[in-house]
Amino acid sequence: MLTLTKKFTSAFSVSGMEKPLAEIIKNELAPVADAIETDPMGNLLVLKKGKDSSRKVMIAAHMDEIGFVVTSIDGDGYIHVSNIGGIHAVASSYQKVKFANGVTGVIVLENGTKAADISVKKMVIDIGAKDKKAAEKRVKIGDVCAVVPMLQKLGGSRYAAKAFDDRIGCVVAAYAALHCDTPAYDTWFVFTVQEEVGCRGSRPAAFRIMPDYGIALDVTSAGECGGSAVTKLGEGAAIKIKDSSVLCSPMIIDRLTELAKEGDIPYQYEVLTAGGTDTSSMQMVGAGCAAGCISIPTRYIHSPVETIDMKDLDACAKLLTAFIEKGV
Amino acid sequence: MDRIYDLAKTLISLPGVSGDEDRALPDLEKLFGHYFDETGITPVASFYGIRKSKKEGAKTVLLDAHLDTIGFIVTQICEGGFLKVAGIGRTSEKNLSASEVWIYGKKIIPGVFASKPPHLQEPGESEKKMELSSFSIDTGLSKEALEEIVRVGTYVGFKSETERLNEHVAVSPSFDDRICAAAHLRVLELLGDEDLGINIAVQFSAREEQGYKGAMTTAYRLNPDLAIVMDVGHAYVPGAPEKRKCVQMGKGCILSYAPQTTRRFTALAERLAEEKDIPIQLLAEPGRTGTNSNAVQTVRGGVPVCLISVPLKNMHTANEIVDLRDVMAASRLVEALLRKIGEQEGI
Repeated sequence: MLTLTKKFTSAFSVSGMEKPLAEIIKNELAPVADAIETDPMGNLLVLKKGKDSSRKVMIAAHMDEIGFVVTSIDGDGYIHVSNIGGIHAVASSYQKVKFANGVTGVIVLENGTKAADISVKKMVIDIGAKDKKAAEKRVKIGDVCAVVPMLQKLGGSRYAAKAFDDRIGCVVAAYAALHCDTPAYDTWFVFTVQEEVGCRGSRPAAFRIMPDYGIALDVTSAGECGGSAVTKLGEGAAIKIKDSSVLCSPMIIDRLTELAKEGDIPYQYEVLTAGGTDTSSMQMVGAGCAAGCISIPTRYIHSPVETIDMKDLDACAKLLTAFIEKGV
Repeated sequence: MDRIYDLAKTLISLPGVSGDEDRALPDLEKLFGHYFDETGITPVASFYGIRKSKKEGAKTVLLDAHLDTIGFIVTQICEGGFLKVAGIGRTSEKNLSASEVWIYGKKIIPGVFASKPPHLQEPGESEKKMELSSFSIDTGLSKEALEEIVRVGTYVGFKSETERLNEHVAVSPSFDDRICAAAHLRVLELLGDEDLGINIAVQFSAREEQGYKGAMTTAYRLNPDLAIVMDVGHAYVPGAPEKRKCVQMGKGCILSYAPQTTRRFTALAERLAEEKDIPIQLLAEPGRTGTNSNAVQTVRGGVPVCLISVPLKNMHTANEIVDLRDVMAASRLVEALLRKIGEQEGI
């Protein structure tokens, strides 16, 4: 699982430009897939056939990460940007960033910006260009960048990285796809695009599949210093009750709880009062689907040091595998 | 009027905070299944029933009311038997203090939103804005006993009691939108076994307070030709802005002209109301109406929608008030519309 984590978190996958990560995942899963499709939006859909093909399960994890898009370049060669997804402005300031074409720069704040006024509007990127002309040779309007990848082992089984959200969900889904026995039903592992900008990828993907059951995998905030999150780091897979986009289907909540108990898998519940997930796209597709979500407890979401506990990851993978193999 | 009140009272006795509607479904089927030729529940926990016409190629008219109510969800079980909750659907925090609730755990237990007596408040404290996070629900149980019944994610709703203030006016925590479900059922009762030459589909849709999800998905399944959506609307109260005077309690049901309703359909309803002497109040709604009408209108290739509402006071509180005469007007208008659509095979 750590190998997959390293591979997936090192990729560049800002919303709308997920292809490099899609290629990595595709290569990993090709040996076990019964079919692989890429839809017009760039969602990667991987099928594992089940014992019972009359029902369909959709597993969704989003590939995209938050980032910045270039809006203008000023006379001094500073690059002005807008956000793609919910940028954590404080945490992104004075970080190193990398563009899709490899150009590296640093995010700085306009001189004199007070702590309370920090926002994306106050950010510029310095790529070391002496003027506008020099900068334009390396970066153009519309180019996209993200904070440079980082993965750092902390104490015990805990790791910090940039954009675990939601490549760590992709890891859990991929791990389950690679290691599960024959699924109970036809199971589509869907690696979605553009979640960070409003769950845009998962809607057409769900429409393509029209699943009977849907499980999303995403991060949820956990036990930060001074925070009030319901879930805690290191206490197991978080079974989602709600977030601001969805009220999970009780039958999925109950089934995941039952499977966790049976398999002695550590679990906890998650009630998130902000943030949305691909779960809602699945629940609302066509005439509706029973949908839920297994969340990975994560600290400091949308900062460059998102922190997880590998034990939780293990619990999430076990719980997902149990659902895939045993069904409802 | 007594019949509508009884129907509403029965419906309101069933639970169904957004997300927890499953709890109401078996009883709905038991109580009202026989009103229909076919019934079903959807993965998003909506209930639907269809009355089929013998006529070949009959059009399907959908009657919608939402099943879910606003409420709360447990986020934390605290020392002393208190619960911390997050809101499901919008409510006004200042109305919560001392409200009675039912907690839908392994069994249903009562609780009250704790409130600080005026004697113990600091000067000026009662004027401060209250946040939901500063409220707790007191259950009177020990933490250990409470943990046996409640978990993180347990739903909480206002205590379900329906009462009549007088002959016409009634009060309940969930007239939004059970009163409209009652109105639809009353229409079916008024029609009896009569075949109007149209299929009548009824959906009590889930998750309205959470973005119209039940309506969207259930209407997709039922695939109607036309839809009549019913919800509650704000009735004028003294002190409210002058422009709100167009909707008053006891003066009839509300008929909405809006971008999210179909003008021709609404106009037909307006004409019928005049013909049949059914009291209506017109309302112009420039926005998305805040009802299922916008969700149902855009299902599949689009569905013509008429929105009829019942004036209501104190929306999203433990004491919502309606005038039963307005509800009857709504039922009569829906019945008239169905007959007309059957007669002229459309709008």
